[in-house]
Amino acid sequence: MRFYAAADEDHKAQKGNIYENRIRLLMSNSVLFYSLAVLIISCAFAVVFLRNIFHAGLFLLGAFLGVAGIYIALFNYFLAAVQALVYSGAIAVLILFGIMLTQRHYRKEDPSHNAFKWIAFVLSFGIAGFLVDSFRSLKPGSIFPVKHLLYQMGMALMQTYAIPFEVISALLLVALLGAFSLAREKEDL
Amino acid sequence: MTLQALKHLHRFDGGLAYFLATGKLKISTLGIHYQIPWLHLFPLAAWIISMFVMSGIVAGFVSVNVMALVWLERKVSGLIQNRMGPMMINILQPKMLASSKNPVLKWISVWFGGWLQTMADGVKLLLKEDIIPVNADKWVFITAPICVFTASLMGYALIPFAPQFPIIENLNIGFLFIFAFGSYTVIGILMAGWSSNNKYSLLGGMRSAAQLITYEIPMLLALLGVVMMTGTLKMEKIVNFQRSLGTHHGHWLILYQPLGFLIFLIAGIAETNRTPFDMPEAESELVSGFNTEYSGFRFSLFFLSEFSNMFLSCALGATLFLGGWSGPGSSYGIIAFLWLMIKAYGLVLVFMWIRWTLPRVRIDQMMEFGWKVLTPLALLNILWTGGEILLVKIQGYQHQYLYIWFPISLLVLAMLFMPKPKKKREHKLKFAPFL
Amino acid sequence: MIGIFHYLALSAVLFCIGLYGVLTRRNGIAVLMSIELMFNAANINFVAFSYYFKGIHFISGEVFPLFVIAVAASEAAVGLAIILSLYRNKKTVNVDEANQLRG
Repeated sequence: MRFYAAADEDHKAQKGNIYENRIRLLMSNSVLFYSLAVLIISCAFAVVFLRNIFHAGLFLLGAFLGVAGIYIALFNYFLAAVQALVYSGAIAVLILFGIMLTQRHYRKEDPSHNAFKWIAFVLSFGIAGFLVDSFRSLKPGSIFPVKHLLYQMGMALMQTYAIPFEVISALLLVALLGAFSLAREKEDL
Repeated sequence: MTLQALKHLHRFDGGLAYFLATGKLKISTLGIHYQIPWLHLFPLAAWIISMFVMSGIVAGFVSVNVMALVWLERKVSGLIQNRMGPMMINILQPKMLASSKNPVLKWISVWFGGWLQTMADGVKLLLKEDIIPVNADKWVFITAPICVFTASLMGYALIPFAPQFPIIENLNIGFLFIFAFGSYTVIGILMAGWSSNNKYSLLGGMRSAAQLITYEIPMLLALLGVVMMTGTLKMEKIVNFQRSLGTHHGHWLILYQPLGFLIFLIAGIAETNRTPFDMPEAESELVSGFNTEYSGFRFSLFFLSEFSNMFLSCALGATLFLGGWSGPGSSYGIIAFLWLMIKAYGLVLVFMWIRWTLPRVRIDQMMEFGWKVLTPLALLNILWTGGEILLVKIQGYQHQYLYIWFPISLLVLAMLFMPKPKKKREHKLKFAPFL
Repeated sequence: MIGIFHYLALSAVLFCIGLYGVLTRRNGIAVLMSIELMFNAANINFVAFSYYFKGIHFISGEVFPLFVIAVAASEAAVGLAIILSLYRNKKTVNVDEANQLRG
């Protein structure tokens, strides 16, 4: 029978993919990585520092897009698509929705950060500096791109991680119901 | 170009994208080995050039196509709702043509009358004053239409218009890419609604986000049936799978997935914001919703992306369910392209037919329909597809007979679950002098 | 040449920016956004490790981000529901004004 026949052919065609070769080229020039890193970090800074919360949400979207680019640079296209689909299609939209619903009583003179901001600044970026410094001893290492990635991911989800997969689906259902019961308007109270 | 050369046009190695990226044109059957002289020395430059050329091709294709679509929409609306304008406007004197007794002239005047209307619309939109409201969030206001338009263009890279044609060829996530970038349409519409600083725009944007997210779920679940049957996400492979089924030119997947196709069609109409699901821009309730404050070129970008989204989802449906470019004579690249266009335009006509026939539904009806009807039906479709695969894989069932078995079982199931028709309420007219 | 160091550094910086946001932002939705940044940093680490180091379960690093994304989605849904009900009851989304339970 011909069902599932196409999946086997899929693996053969992966060699000589011009786009992967181009991505490898860009990575060896570091052009791709550094442009993505600059995009992600600047968007993340904007998320954290901007006063206008809607703009912060839009920059969060930019950060998500940059992370999807990082996945593409690591040749995991499926994860990149899921990142774009779930993070920017669902989570970011949800957050923007929340912002739209709650900004009616927005007061401009309110401080956007609390009193600990300088302590937190020193603390968190101290941790960042410490971490980056401690990573410096790492060698570049050799890469091990996974062969037949999409196929292997599917098999792993259905075999090794079958129980976590089911638990996650139960979690999603519970979260759906919980969110519904929390956000519902109660008649009395 | 001779017919022989035409036949081998699509058979150069790696297709158009490979040629543009590397500059290598190799048609082994004709003995052509050509390389653009300097391009292989600068691979990065070649890549960037190919990207620009490709996006130029896509943008040109989309704009020409949208002009045809707008014209077609006017014609269809004119036919269905007896509108005079689109049938008449012509540079040739319409009255003379329409009243002439020559059947050819009359045919021309009826079917090609009004083709200048699109051009006039475009010129009007581009000449309009470009207004940015004073209290608008300026940069978000400017970015929103660009975001929507880019998202709608990205999907075209994946559609296999002819054998070996898709612009991004070897992407193993296939049509998931279209949906991944389609989600940026929602963001663009939300941005437009928020930045206009207008409560109708805000309402339109929020409605649109709710609608698009609601209908994305049944759409993806319906396409899961296709993926289960073909075992791949690549569009090219799905077309080849359909060609390999059955006997002659293959069986279309709509025969095996009628319910999936129906769900895809309905969800596609909702995803492209067309009547009966045009909540975001309901003219009579929200004064055209998220694009109220837009004018001139920015409005025309919204307009363009709306139509290009419609064509994209039709082309997607034609590729996944109607056999894509396959058909008699599809070994010629151009005929294959024509087959896809014919199928896609057939779906477009269905979309337009629905738009000009049905009235707009209410927002709560729409959400209820999405969550309570379409999503469970899509889950049911997955179950049935699993049954089909089980029959073929384990029982060794002849798959040629599946397409007969499947709709019948579906019909039986529909009859089982059909709600009993309510008793017709009797309207007793107390005073009806004219009836 | 880009190595594992670059990815780890990027993810560490991203994580710490998110941490700063969680610690300092007053708006509850902004806190949620910062948490999403931290999730993303963790995901970059997973994929980078699986790409650069080959272990026995080398596919785990590619699969685990899917679980993280699912958890992030449910977290965002529940978090926004909490913020919405806070907003409905107290007309504010600032997390430091929700201090009724403090003794």
